[in-house]
Amino acid sequence: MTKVNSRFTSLFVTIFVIIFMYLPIVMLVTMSFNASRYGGKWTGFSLKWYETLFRDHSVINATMNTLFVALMATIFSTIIGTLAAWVLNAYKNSNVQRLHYGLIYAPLVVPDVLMGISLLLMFVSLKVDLGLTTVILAHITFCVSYVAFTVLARLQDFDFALIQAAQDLGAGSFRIFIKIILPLLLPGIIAGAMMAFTLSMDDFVVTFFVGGPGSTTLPVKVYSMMKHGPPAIINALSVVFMAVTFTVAIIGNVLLRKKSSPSRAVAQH
Amino acid sequence: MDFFELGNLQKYFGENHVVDDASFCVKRGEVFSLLGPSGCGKTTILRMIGGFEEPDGGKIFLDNEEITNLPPNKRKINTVFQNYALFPHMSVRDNIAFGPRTSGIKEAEVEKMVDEMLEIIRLKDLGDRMPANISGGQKQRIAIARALINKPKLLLLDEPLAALDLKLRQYMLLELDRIHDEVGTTFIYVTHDQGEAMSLSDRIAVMNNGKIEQIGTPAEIYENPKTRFVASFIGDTNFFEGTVTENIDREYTKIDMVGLGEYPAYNDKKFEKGDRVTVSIRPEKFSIFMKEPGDNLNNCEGVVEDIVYQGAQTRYWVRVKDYRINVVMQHNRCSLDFKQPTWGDKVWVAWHRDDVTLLESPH
Repeated sequence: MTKVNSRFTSLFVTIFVIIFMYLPIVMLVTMSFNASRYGGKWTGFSLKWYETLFRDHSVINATMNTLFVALMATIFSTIIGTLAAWVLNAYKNSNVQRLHYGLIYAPLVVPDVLMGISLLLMFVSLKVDLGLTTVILAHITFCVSYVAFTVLARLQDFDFALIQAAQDLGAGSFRIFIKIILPLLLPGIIAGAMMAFTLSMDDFVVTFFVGGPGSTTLPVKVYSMMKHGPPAIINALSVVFMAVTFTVAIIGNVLLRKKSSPSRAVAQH
Repeated sequence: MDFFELGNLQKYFGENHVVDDASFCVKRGEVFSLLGPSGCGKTTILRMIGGFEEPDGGKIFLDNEEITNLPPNKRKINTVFQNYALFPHMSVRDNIAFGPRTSGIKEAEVEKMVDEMLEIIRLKDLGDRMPANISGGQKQRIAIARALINKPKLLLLDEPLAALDLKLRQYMLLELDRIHDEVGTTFIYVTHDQGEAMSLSDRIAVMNNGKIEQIGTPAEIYENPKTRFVASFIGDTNFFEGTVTENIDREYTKIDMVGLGEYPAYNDKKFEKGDRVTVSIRPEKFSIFMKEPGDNLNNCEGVVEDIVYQGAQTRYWVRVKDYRINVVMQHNRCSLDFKQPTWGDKVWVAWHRDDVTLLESPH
């Protein structure tokens, strides 16, 4: 009896959580297909908001900006983050690296508002013109931490005897990096990159502070449209935006899971 | 100059003198073992030969060439690592092919070499498996193949059987021996297991606390240990303290064994009258008699305290005054011409004067 009960309870909780988390999203998606201009009442299925959306140049512009910023932020933060993780792992007993660890960790817990203000202050005092460049720099700043921690987790499983084995078999540093280190760390690096990409795409707060003319990204666009445009377009825009984010996140997850399993199994032996 | 030479090698880890003036030579085609308890410095020596650790002093020569300061990838030496260190993201074939591919050999030739190696280690069907999907013994052989395919002048094996269970270990020992016979490469083998070292090696260096205590064939080391440590580390033994009382002739001497009395002993180390010595007698060198044996055997009287039956043999502990003497007796009709001793029996423990090893006393 208790077994049936507990099963029922866990099912109930699961359903409740799913409803709690996804009901707003389901409503958003539904409403984006609603013919009514202001939502609330269902007046029939329509794709006209999507049509309007794709004809709006500023939206397309914002999308391009978002993708460009996300791509740049991903590339640079992945390189910097991976190197940071390597150094953190290689010299984990040095005091400098303990400080480094703390500094890398901080952006994960510092509120976005604080980060945004401090970056803005810095850019202003350095007299840097606010625009795409400052947005990209800001995004790199917080993405590095996420990449570093994802790769670091992967490095903790890494068997350094493999490097010696490769050396023993005649390989030089470059070959060891290409043939051994990179393939084994790649799932972690890709997962970190995916995370950086989605974080950068999603970011509103920091972008809002450090953005300038011509650097409007999708989240900022959505916010400004809330004030002016018809809400239904925002629904459609949000759905498109969400779809892209989800796709990237899911690909990242699948890659991480698939690639990590064989070497984990080895590490346990 | 020998094929491989290690001259006065030194290594410190901080304050620790982990390798203290190690020197030895290895002949071409030999299986040479470094044997000692964990932490004795044997693996550190191996890592210095492989190039993974820099010596703080001394020189290493291989085939008339000094290699002391060459990086690992420039030495004609390959290593079988303790936990195999197979590349988890490569198939068995790709693992074995890593060396030849690195040295730029043509792919067709590489394939042929890999096939040949798989043949030698008798794992032809496993080429396409991933390392995660093969057993420990198979990984072991693949690690050996991956090293041997480069035709090294010297193969280093770091506790290669330590991770395997007993049955597999015995099987792999025979396999290693067979592979060595087949390829004829010079092996340097590191182990803490005296059984492995004894059955595989042509010669053994016994190490303790960073020092090489003795180098010799397995029989020399077992029958004629040079130090107290070697005598106790290789096999079992009984130690007695004593003093040389009189040199009988050039070969034999009389020893006053503390608490037991005076007995003649073979004296190959030329101890002089008055020298304090440790007498080592192995358990199987003793025999137990139910009545006093003849004059040609050294003997003393005691009481059986403990008996452990071990199938092929029985181990007795006989109390003789302050000593508990460990005796091993084989079971067969030839030697058991008396009834088997049991707990509390009064017996005579006897040994031959030639079966005694005299060692320098630590006191």
